[in-house]
Amino acid sequence: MAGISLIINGKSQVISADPSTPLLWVLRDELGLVGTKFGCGIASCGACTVHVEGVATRSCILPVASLAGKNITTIEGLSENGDHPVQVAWLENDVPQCGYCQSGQIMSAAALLAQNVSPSDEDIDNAMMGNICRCGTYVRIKSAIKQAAKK
Amino acid sequence: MKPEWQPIESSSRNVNLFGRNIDIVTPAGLEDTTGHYVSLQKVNPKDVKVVRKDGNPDEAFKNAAFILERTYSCPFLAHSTMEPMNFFANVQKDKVSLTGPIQTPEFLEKAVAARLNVPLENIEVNLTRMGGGFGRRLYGHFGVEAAVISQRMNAPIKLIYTREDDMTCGVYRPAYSAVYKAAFDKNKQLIGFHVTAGGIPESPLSANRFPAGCVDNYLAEEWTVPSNISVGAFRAPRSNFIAGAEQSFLDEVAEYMQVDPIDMRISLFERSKSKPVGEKNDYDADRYIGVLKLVKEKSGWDKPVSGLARGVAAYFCHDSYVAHVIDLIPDKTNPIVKKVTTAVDCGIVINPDAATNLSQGAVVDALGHSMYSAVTFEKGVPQQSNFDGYRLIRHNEAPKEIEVHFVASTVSPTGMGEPSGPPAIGAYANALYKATGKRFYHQPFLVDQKVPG
Ligand code: FES
Ligand code: FES
Repeated sequence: MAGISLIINGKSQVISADPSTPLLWVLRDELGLVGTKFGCGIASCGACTVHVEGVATRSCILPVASLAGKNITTIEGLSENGDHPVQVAWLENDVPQCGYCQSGQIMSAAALLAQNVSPSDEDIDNAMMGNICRCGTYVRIKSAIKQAAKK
Repeated sequence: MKPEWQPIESSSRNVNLFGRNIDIVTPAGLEDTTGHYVSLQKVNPKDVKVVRKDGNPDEAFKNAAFILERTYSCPFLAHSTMEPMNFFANVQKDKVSLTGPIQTPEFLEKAVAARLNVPLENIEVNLTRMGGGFGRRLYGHFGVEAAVISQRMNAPIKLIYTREDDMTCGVYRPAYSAVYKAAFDKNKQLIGFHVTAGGIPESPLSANRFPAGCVDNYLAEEWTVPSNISVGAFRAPRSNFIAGAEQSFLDEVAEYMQVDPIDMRISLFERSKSKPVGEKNDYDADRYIGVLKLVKEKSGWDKPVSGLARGVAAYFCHDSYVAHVIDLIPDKTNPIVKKVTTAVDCGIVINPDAATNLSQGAVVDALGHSMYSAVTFEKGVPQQSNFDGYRLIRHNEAPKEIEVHFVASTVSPTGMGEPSGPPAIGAYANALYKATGKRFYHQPFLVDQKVPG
């Protein structure tokens, strides 16, 4: 059986995993893209968030079979040098604590700002409420998103 | 795969826990939450131990013109670290290589040496970057488990707990309960204070902390209910419950006395400075007064904003002093935490931005657990296994603003990750009362809300 072909961070890749494998485990175990994290496996925590055609998507429940030919961006591909406006704002606001949830938070925030250049507090809450942070960095995440929006 | 467990026999062992020798009894049998609640409510007087007694509390309560009595409780909690437990192990003939995130590498090394019966010098533990542990990664059984699997398979293996494994094989925050009583004379002066606290399976009480030393007649008692639920340290152990209970109770004491809750605390601390009651009082009254005065000033306590409900609390734990004022937007069903004003005395502040971040995080974390989180058991099985059933605080529920101020100090630096959490629960409960007209005694406070998808 020919593998599924995915476009990950702009590069076409043929995947050998079983088509029912969730994208998260293909990224981590097959492609070594370990910036995307596992937190729950049921789309309830946001740690595994990537962009599929620009939309924030939970990769832990997404079989690779459904993704043939789709453009997928992971935290590794968000910017060349870690200088996406959201990443810069994250640094300036010293957002992360343990950091485990943060690539998911950043991917959700970047997808929000790509669609909405000046989100209200409510827009931010709605876009971000799927991303849990046990360290409790929510207040700084909100400030960082507002700062990134200004750029 | 459906795992099955062997039933355990009752057992008891003596352990040295940070210098305290305690007997831990582990009963046999399957426990459930209904039974736990019964045992929290019906404590056998024979099991209650006096831990501290000053003056003559019996007399004070007998002669009291009024006695205020309130009961507080909290459930078991799961650590819910965003990174589930995991470890890599490669057990070879004369080399054991272990790699992963753990708070206690030396303990793991010794445990694996004992379990696999290999000499310590053959074991190598490498640490990776670590997602927050909050106490959970003190208990390295998952590293031992990885080593055993690798040995059995004769291959290098990586063990990752699913969230379901992680949540149902936890080392939970114990369930606690406390009864507070205050005796007043006919002039509404506080003449006696009595706390009886306990938990499954340990007590949350720190008998020498405030208000010990401030009240002439003081009695502190504790009890425990043995249990086979595995429990362990959870960010700010014990304080994560007792601070909220004590600080809510003091709010009712101040209300009854018709005095300002900050002024009341300060006058109790002044009392402990000029005429301390008893010995071994475990706090520095000046540092407590310092954070209370700072939070009073920075929150504009004397100029309340109309339309906001405010609560205050202060606590000392993990060697630091923290006071909060919490402002809520009143709403009967969904009060929003508009602002938290925080004053911290943690000695010299090395990195103010990181310290502020830790303080903000501890507030969000403690508030979230007090609002939403609980593990319940049926026939020994945890009933929550992932974030659909076990609720953690989310973006939309977090405080809108947390402003942190530090007391200028020349004292050597003290705890920062934990102390801001416990008093936040008290300040929140006190603000909830102002917002809703109802006192909140039992955590989680906002249980009837539904879980977002
Ligand atoms: S791991 Fe995918 S949402 Fe939690
Ligand atoms: S930074 Fe630790 S879980 Fe978010």
